Amino acid sequence: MDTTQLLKGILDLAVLAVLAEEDGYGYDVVRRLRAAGLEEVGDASVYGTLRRLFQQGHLTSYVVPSEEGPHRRYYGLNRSGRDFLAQATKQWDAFTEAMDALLKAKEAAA
Amino acid sequence: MSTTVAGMEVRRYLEAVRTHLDYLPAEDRDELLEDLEDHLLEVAAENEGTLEQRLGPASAYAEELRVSAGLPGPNEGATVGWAERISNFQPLRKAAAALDSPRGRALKRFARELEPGWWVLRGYLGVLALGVIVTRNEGLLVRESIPFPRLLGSYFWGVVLSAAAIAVSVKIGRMAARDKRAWLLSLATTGLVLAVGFSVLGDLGNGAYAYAVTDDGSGYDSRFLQHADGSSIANICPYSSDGKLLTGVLLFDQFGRPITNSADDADGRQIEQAKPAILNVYPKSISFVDVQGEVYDPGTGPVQQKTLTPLPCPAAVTAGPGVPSPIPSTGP
Repeated sequence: MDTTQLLKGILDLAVLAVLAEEDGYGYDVVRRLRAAGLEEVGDASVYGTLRRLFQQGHLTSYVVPSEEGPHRRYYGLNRSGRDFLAQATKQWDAFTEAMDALLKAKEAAA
Repeated sequence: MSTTVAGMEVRRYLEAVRTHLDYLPAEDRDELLEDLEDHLLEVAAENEGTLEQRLGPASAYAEELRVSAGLPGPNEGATVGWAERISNFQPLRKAAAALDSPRGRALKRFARELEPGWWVLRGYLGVLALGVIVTRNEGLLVRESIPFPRLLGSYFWGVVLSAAAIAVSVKIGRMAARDKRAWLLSLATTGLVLAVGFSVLGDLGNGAYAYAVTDDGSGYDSRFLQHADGSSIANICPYSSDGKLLTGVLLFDQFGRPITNSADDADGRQIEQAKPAILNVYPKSISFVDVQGEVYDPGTGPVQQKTLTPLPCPAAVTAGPGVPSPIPSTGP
């Protein structure tokens, strides 16, 4: 099964969950998602998702200048983002519960 | 801007991405790519092969970027008209998202059912507001136009126009369900009717139509104090239990609101009141206005000469519940 298709649907939730831990900049979020086990997460997808969530008003953003490297735009959750994450988490829990039950039932039948 | 080899590679890649997204509105594209150079520099700093090897071809990267950012593709975005622009407006989108919750959907269904009723009401209210304004400008009583608007000098036209406006309003409402432009037209119509309606109501409240509302010949004027039989109360004369007239008494109602609306006439006879600094102080110093013949002014024609007869409170009264105050015996 192509995990990139699965990832697309849950990238918002994954990105918000990472930022809920700690504010982060684009590449930092990519790294943290990969470290968490979502290895196939696309660099462009994470960047685009961050921009969109910001546009939708779920994130705050600030630029941290750096002496040696490039400037980093950090993103963090605001109230709307936290509400959105809570709601999406609930949906995710209900969804995984239903899927688990479905897959277990199939196993039992087999 | 970096001038290193990595920097040059990043800029080449970035340019390629930008070129692939050149169909996007410049504003959207610039916003999307605002931090991409810094981001790519970060990626390049990892030093594991070229950007192409790590991120794939710029065209695929650009496409992934656009999709994840929720921006329209080359064909979807071609006809971004003003209607789409409005519907893409973020607060509207958020409101739409709120309406998409189960509770929002139930509310929407209910509103849908009420909608035709509103269309009818909207048509009628529009003509009614017009009728009130026209009637008022003709110097007639506003009541003449409520509830049947009077237009072009007769109720006939008011009723005909109401029926026509209702038909048009319903038509617009029904079209709005299918067509975005008609929906905006419907919204604008509702806004206009509400704006005119509220401004008329505001004027009524401010007394701009007061002469028409109150001076209707019945002698009934609800703005001022009056007895149950309709005769006006121009003054209040408080006496102590030992029959002495109290002066400078401040009167308030049950909520502590000052009572300031003593009548400006005494049963049809014009009076003048000395305007005190505190409006609810009683008794007031009031006088009958008597007109003493005409004096001719060469500039302005006949003028009426006023003389004032003071109208004092009645002499001491016996205190007790229900004891009526004697009618003052002053007068010309």
